[in-house]
Amino acid sequence: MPSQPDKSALSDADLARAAQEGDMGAFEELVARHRDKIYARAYSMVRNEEEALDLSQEAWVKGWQRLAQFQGGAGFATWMTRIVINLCVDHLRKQKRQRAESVEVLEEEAGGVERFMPVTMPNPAAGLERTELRRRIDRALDQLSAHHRTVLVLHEFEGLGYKEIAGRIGCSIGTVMSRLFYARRRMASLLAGLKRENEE
Amino acid sequence: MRQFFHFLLAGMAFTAIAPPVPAADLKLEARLIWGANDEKETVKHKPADPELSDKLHRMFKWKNYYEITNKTAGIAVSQNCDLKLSDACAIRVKNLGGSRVEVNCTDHGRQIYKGAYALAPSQWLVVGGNDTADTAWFVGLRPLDDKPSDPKKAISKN
Amino acid sequence: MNDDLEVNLELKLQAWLDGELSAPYSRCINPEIVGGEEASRLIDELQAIKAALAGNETARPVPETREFYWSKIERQIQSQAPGPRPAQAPRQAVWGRWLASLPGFAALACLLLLAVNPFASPVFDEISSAGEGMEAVTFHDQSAGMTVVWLTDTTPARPAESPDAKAPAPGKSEVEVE
Repeated sequence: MPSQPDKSALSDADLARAAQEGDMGAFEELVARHRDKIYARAYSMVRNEEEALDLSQEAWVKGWQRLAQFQGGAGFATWMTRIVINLCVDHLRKQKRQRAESVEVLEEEAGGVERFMPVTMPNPAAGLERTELRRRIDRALDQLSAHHRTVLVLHEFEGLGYKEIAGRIGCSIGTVMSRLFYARRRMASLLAGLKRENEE
Repeated sequence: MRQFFHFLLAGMAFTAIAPPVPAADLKLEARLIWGANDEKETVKHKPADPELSDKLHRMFKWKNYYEITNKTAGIAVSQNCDLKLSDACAIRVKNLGGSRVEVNCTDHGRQIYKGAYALAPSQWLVVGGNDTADTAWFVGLRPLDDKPSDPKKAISKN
Repeated sequence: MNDDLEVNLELKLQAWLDGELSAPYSRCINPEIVGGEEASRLIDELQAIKAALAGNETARPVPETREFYWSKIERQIQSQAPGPRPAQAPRQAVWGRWLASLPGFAALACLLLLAVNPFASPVFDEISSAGEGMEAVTFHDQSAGMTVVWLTDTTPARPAESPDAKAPAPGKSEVEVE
């Protein structure tokens, strides 16, 4: 009987150290623990199951290759999340280059009408039960462009600041601010629209 | 002679710098087969392809094999193709490149199997299981030779 | 009013809300003073959206089993690094269970053992996983030119329906779809 400890009982830091020594089993345990989170982050950005699977797996492969760089400061899951975010940003950038821009996309990139609309429903999420709210947020995220969704996800769900977002996606802080502003107003408009739909 | 030599050199240089020919689409056929001991006269489906029936006979116990659906598809590399083979049975095939595919089988939308395989020319990949009343279902996949596919049946989508 | 100034004010209000303004600057921005009622409503809306999004991201599990998901990662790691491939999980345990639990297939198993060497290393690298409640066994018949994956539904069966010459459904028809 092997005398190695049950890997599921080890901390992330211990598993990462073992993986840095070449222990693939330790890395597999880390993958099992955090795969949902990494996949979910990829999906939130690319909104496509197949692409999210591919990107999340690519992130794990990169994580293995770069294990020596993991110092243990930010937490292993956070470190892996940064890797998958970078891969998703690159992926979306490549997609944008390949895709001809439609008039609607260009208009949304410029800010769209929501940016200038007066506030009509200050709290479109008021009164919604949590499951329903999450479902509507998910639906609304599908309707944002990749640019606006990326900034919104990185700021609201990952808690990154303007400067860090600008650094990750390769744009100015001003661009981050205007995209975030548009994304929030659009979300408000979409959530208000979904709420009105439900009430009818 | 000199001109010919220059032409030959130019041709070789062009070949050297020409971009590689992109991988062709993977063309394959998918069949839903039902294995049963019911007599042919009582079954409304047509008998399955004799070659495939023969292979199934060698492996499985059922007397007769009937073809429920037969579809062909051309799938570009890294693309998926969804094929609905019956009301309950659907498969999603992804071309992984190099004749490798990922096959995802669902029953009433529920995933029952997922696997990745290399499809050898003219060789069948068969996924099967028991069905009611001591019958069986089989989904057969086989790569097709590179010939024009039936445009009515060809499906190539993401 | 100058549109540029309005736009800048909106973004500054947002930055103030997000705590992105430096302290001296943030003291200059007070929605009640700057921008009036419309600015206040805008701040309310932005705050409401922030609050709505906080902690309300839909959880999304990986739609693949642990083993299948990991197997693809492992293969990619190994294809990019030198070193021996890890040992493949032996199929003997799966075969043993299959043979023991399905006496009706004993004759079939004998036929297969004659026609096929189940322990021969596969001609190609394959990975597979059965869905929840299903068990899969893969075997190759080189002479027939066929690879077969046989799925067994391991969930408790309901009484079988009467025979019917209709299009079959994969898996047991009586298994409820979730």
